[in-house]
Amino acid sequence: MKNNIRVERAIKRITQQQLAEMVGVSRQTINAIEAGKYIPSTVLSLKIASIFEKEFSEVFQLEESDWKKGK
Amino acid sequence: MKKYLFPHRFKKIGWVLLIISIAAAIANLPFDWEPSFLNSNPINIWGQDYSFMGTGKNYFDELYSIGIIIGSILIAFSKEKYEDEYIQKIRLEALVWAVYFNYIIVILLIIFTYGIDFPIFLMYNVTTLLLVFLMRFNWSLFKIRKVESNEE
Repeated sequence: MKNNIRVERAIKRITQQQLAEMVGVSRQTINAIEAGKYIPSTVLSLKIASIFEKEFSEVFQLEESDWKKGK
Repeated sequence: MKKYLFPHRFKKIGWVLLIISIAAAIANLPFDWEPSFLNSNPINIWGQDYSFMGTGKNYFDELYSIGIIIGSILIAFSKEKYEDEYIQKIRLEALVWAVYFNYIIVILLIIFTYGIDFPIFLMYNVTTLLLVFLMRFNWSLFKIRKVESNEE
């Protein structure tokens, strides 16, 4: 799953740390999500989209590889 | 998973308990030291005859063995300062990894140790699972914290 959290953060002018505090996770978690190393839970994804005042699909998009079975 | 974890403050208690217990084990195993006030008659729960032990049994080794186990459980399963879903994923991965590692060791012990050596090694192996988990989990945490410090 792709995301453009980094871009949205830049638009809103908030740091990883600030976003982390707003959604109640550690800064490492936001960093790992931005780097594509961690796929956030549904609740966390929706919280992040809601901070940016965007629809879920504007922040997170499926990739081709997400459709492969037993990934 | 969160509901199975201890509060963060138990981590410190775990470290204190583990360090004291390991120090006791070092005093006891190579140097044969044991405090005499822990001498007592063995609890005879399986109906065995312990009279060959003479003056009775010293309970020092029981105490520090339990201390090592409880100490490492508290360290391993206390919440991190920010215990969130990503940390929990790392925790789970480290646990799976440690279980594999532990049983590879057990299989090697089965193949390569015989007679009285086998149960002696198995006794030491009691701590392997938790200690390997601790090393793997903290190594993963260290790695993500290092990467994180050069990003913004």
